Amino acid sequence: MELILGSFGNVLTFQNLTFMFIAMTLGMVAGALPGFSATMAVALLVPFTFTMSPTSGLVTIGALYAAAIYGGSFSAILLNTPGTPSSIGTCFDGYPMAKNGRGEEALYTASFASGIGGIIGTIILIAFALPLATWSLQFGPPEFFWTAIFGLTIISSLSTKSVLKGFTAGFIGVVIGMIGLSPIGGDVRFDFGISNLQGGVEMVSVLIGFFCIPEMLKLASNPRQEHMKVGTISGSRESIVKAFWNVFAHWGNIIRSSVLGALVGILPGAGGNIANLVAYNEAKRAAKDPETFGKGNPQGVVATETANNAVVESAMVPLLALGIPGSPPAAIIYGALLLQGINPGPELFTKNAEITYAFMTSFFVVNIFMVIIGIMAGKYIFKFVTSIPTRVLIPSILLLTIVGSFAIRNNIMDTILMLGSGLLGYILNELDFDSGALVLGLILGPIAEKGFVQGIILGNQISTETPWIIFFTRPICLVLIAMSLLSACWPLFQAYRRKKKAAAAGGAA
Amino acid sequence: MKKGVNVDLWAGLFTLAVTGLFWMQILERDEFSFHSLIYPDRILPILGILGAVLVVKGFVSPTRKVEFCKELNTELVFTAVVSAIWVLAMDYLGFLLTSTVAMFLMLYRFQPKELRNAKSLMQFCLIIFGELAFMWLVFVNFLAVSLPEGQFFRMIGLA
Repeated sequence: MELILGSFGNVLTFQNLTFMFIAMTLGMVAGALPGFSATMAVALLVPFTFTMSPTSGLVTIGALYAAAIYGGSFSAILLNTPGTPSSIGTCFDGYPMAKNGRGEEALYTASFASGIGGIIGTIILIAFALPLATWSLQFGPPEFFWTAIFGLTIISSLSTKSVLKGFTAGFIGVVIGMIGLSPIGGDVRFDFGISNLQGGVEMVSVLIGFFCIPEMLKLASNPRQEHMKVGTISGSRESIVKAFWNVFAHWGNIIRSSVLGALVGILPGAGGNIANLVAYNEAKRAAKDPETFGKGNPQGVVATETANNAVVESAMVPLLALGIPGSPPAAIIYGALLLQGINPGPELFTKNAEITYAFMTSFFVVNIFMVIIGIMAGKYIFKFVTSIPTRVLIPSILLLTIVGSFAIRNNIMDTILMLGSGLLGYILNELDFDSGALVLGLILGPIAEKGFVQGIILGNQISTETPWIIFFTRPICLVLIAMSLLSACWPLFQAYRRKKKAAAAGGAA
Repeated sequence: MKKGVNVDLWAGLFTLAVTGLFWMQILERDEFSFHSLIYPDRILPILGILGAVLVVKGFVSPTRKVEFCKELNTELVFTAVVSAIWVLAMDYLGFLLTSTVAMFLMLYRFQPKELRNAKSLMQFCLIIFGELAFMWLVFVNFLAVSLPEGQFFRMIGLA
């Protein structure tokens, strides 16, 4: 405890606070730019931290990482384009809120939710780093396979129009995810003779395409229309109060989403991409009004933003406790630690405890600052975006998506794919396919494949005749199977219950 | 009364087409190792079955959409075509030229006819110049992204 309190003193110096403020501002801008990932932002900042002291360097990187994840919510809410894959779920309710004249409220809700999610994530990081890291090591390929399957079952509640089409879209996403090098065999598959596809499809490009381009095309069909209602519901002050209550009157949602985010974040390779969707699904499942999700329910924004910000801190658990970077930004921070002459792993908590605890406690400061800066910036960003006429907004957003998708790998093919998936996304939406389900398949497909093939290889060592038995005999696998079944069947059970209630009400009348 | 488009049938046919397209890619099975095929061999049949179920549903209890592609008009097609040319030509003609032309075309087309005058043309130029300068500054100067200069200009020695 003394160490933790002392570490606040190390963090709260004028120099550190200035670095953190600059990093947070840059991080928010980077996160809000579609195609510019948190990983890229962290990678670009690392060289600037070489000359800083280890504590200053690490708190600056941490501030930028957290702010970039939060910044993704701006474009998700205002443009229906997730700035980072961690904000996919924020589009589902954030954008409808903005379209209904509650954009400012949605932005402030995201700010409060991100802040509280980050703080809970930090508490989990400080309190449980070592035991959680040990637990995460029990996850082998079969467990990762079932985790991906559990993630895919979210489709059943994501798909409001048709569960059948939801799963079909999910599997189309899985199939698109198979393009390129196979993760285990190493063969190039499904490249259709196009050499640029040998490295696979760039997920962020496809994501920008599926979410943003159909929306831009719809706006282009009537470029004189209002792109979103402005301030029809309430002014800034009222929006802040409403946003505050959206978050803090629903502690169940906050705690559930943060804990889910933290648990998913600890698992290497999972991260915010999955956590925000899992949290969204659970919030919808637990809600008394699940039918309002996807139409502008603030609880959807609260769930996704608390979860993805809790991931930021929990992703540090395997890195700090075991020296295993569990996410791409964590891998870059791993490099930054080494460059500072610090070896990630258990010795961080003994030899370099002062620096480590300063890094961990800095997330408290970052998350409080993030809410303040977010609310201040949110107001102006909202006013700026809504003041742009639709006819100017369309080419401007298209420019942003083109540059953003190109910048990921400096590859024109990614831009072509982005536009192609956008046009495909428009047609699929018209056929009642769900873009969210497709993207979920695209994210989880490769994780499932790797877990499946590695699991089969492991299973072969147990039994060559029935290698698949390994997927059904491990305790964590059994828990995940039960969770997957429950998750897949829950919407059906709810529909049955609603039908029964309606029948009973009809009978009574 | 308008019957509407049978979206289940079309969705099913689309799914079957995707399955077929991907399946054809792994017909030459000798080219791939066991570990590269074990997963697609399970996923593609599932996708095929889902597509077939959608086709059957399209015949048995179809979902009909009266307002299918209701936004599809000349403005939308114009935007899609200009965007496609913008992206496809970027590698040959460079980011700056293609973006300037594509953005100008869109801004001009979306501007109400009665407001198209010299002043609005100046505004378009300012918007395009401002946005492109900002993008170039952020992505090229700060983030070291090399936006396409254009093979054509490189060929004639201007880039």
